[in-house]
Amino acid sequence: MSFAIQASGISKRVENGSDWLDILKQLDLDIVSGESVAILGRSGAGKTTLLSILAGLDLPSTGTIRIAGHEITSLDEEQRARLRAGRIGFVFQAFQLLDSFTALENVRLSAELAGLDQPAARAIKALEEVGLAQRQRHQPRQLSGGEKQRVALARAFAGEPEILFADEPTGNLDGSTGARIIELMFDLNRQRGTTLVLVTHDEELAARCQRQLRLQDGQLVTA
Amino acid sequence: MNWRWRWTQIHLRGLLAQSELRVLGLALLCAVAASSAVNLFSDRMSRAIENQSGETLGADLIISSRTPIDGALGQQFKALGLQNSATIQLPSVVWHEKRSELAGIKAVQPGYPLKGRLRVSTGVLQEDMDTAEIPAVGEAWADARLWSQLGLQLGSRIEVGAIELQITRLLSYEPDRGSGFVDIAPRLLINHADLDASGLLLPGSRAQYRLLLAGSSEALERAQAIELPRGTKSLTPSTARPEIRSAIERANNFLALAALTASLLGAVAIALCAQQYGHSLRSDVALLRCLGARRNDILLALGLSLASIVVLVGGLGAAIGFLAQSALSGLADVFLLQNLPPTRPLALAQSWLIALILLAGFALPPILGATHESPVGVFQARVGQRGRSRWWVLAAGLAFAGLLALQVSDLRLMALVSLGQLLCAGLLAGLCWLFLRSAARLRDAPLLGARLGLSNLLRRPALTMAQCVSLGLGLLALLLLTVVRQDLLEGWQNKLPPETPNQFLINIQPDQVEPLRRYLAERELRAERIWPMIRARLSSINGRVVSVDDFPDPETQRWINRDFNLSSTAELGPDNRLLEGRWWGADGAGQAWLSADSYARERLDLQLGDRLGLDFAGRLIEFEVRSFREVDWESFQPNFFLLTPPGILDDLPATWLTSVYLPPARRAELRSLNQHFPNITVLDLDAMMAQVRQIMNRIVSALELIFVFTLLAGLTVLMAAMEAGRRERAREIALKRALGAPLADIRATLLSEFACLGLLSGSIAAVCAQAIGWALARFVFEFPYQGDPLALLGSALAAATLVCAVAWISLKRVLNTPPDQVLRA
Repeated sequence: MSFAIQASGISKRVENGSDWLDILKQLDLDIVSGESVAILGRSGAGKTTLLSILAGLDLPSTGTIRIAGHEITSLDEEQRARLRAGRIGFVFQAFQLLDSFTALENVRLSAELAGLDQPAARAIKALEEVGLAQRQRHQPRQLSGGEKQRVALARAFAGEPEILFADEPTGNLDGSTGARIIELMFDLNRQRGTTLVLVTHDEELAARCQRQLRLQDGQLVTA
Repeated sequence: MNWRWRWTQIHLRGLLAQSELRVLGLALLCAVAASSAVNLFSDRMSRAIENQSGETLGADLIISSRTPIDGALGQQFKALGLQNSATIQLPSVVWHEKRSELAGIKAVQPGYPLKGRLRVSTGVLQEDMDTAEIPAVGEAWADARLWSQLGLQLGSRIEVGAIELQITRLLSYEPDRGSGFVDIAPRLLINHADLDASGLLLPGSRAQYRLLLAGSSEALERAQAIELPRGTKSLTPSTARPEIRSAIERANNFLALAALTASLLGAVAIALCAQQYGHSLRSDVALLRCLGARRNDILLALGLSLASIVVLVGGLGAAIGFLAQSALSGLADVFLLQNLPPTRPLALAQSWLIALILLAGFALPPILGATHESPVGVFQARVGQRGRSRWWVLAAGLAFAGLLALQVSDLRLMALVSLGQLLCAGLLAGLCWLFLRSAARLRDAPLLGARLGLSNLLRRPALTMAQCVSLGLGLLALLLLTVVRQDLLEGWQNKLPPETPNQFLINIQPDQVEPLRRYLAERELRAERIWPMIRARLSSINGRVVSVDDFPDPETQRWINRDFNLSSTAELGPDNRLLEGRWWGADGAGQAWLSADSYARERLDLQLGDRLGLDFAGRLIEFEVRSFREVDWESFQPNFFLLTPPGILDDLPATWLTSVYLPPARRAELRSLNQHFPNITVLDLDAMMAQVRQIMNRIVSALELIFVFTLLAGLTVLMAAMEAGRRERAREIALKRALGAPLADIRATLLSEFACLGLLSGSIAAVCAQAIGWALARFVFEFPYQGDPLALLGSALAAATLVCAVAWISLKRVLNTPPDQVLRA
């Protein structure tokens, strides 16, 4: 059994005016490769902070994290970026597409950063898989919310990541569009065997993951 | 093509499509175009002015020697494609019937003078006219004084040395006469071919050999690089005469001010836009970092983008500047100066360098600063702004220094302008802060209508201060270029009032001083003063005998190697400013004291208390240096490098001189003065002064054309200032519109906000502009400057109106955009 993520003794303390705020407290988490894990919690519980730390976007105040066997807490930002490229994919609530790039360019960027061959062909294939073959040359402002999120999904999978982090992927979408996006994300995840870490406050969505954890008072408990 | 190249392409496309980049590109384009036009044109103007001033020497370059100039040297100049003409000047007695007179003979070749024209007439009181000819072989032209003293008539025969010549013209003006009043003997102009036969060129004849040269500036530059034999010196218009040199320096100061202002405006506009653009880049950078892009890759991509912008926009700006200066020089050819020298590739390269400096110093730091954005920024609705690092300040400081070094030669001007800008920026920031503090209670104004405009300023104090400072600096430049520029130019032009003396009367004998004074008074011609003039030669400094070899500088060697004139006075004229020491007044009578002008002080490295030994034709007197003066050589009043108190030189042989203003219509009267006082030489300064005035007018006209471009650069600063906070303002407007706010209320809010901002920054800028104008007039251009309170008020109101207009143009599109488009973006 290999682990995609091993987090041990994670805590995050931030300054809050004259006080200190403990967002995460001595938290441990192991995620097996190929597993899908949902992290639930109310607004302000620290879900996004935990996701940032697990993905190597931010560093914990204490504790260690291993991603695909690599200890990342001792790496600098530059080394962590190199690790993220090709190993980690993201889907954000606010889509986070580069406004000045076309849909194809946004998707291709991920394949290029991952150092994959034929990034353009991979990007086209990924857009076809999310049903946006006809929207390659469109810029984000010309797409609907659902289409933007599908581009984001295509981008996430075009880099052939080992782990996919999804932060409230349906938060900005209406119910039916959100449902279609979720179907698509789980389908792609299944086909690729990607480890999925999903942050959401939606119990129903979380239920589709193999494991559900709740972030409560800075600690993870089984939901 | 990888993502870096695509990002670069997108940035370049953004020059047209993306608001911040578009304004940044426009600002760079304007700054480079203005700087290029100013630099290229002023470079050509400076050289043209220098060439133009060649008329005052009769040539662009003169090679002068006490011994015959080597023919091989002449051949070298000819090979460079330079026109040349040789002259020989020497004193000799001229005979006519039974009369004789010591005259300054000048033998000239066809083509003389190479620049300017001789003026001749057929006799005293006859109308004179330009001529391109010289006396034919066997003929001679005499000036009015020789004409009068020898009783000459047209056709008279005179004897010069061993030959006889026929008088065929009265010589009324020669362009290369009158420098330093050394050549005071009456003039006889003869043909070079007659000189050998005259037998005048004998050892000890004190001949001055001159080779006059004229041609292209490139050839002249090469000619000046040729090493001259010992004892041979070169003279150019800028080194020959202090009054002409002073006019050229003043012109260069004005041109440098225009160029510097254009660059500073560009820098402010670019810095403002780059700050906005850098901020907008942060979310992209955060995402790229999140997806695994390395900072070096992002730096490379942004570096490529900026380099491409430098190449494209900088190149385009330089090209527009080139075309603009071509158009300017086209106008100059028609109205101002003929034959502007061609553009120098080096000057074009300098324009390019300015573009690079502007982007590297003012755009690069805030844009590269965006690459520090953390990947966590993707989760934040608004990516946090980082404070400007010390590198930003360092880069801007270095770029500022680079711009100054490239464009300013006068350190005092540079210091004044920079200090003025810094003071104004500090004052703007300070007063804006005070205003925000004192108006804090207005923060709770209603959320719609005119009062909201004011409270909006209070709601965004950092943005308000940034806008106030940048608007103020832009307005300061605009005011300097319009109101103050006009005052300065008028002040400068008025520096030579219409009744500036135009005739110098020299070689007045002591017993003629009073009769001459009466003669002039009877004719209502005012001579300010009649000065004694004594000739001396420097023999020692602080008891040590000095010779030419003690001074390495050729100009100093030339100065002390001959007799020079000094004078005595108890009163210092208004055209003399005491720099150091005390003026002796009436107490100095009979004292062996000296007051030295800055030129003499610099040449001889004098200190107060130094003792100068002067040789007055064999009589040695040692003087103590008591003061230093700065002489305004443009006053056209008699002035002297060295002055003594009255009494000490009374028993030495002296001649006297004075200057008077004679209306052009009465010129004939002064000619008759020669008949009353035959030995007095009249030097006609009208021609020389007309030339100085003409040069000034030409420079002013050229500057007015250049200032149009600088003005446009100033307007881009206003536009750039409007860009700051535009997005936030657009979103705010869209939200209010979505909530049902009437457009009229939103307009009132915006107008009141910008009117308030414009009035605040405009008032401070107007005060600073007047202060800088006064300082420039007082310390650099040296004439009195009159501030105008009405102009101050008008400037402030005009500034407020201008800011409102620019803001309106900038935000009109936002007002007309449906709110959902803004809110969904």
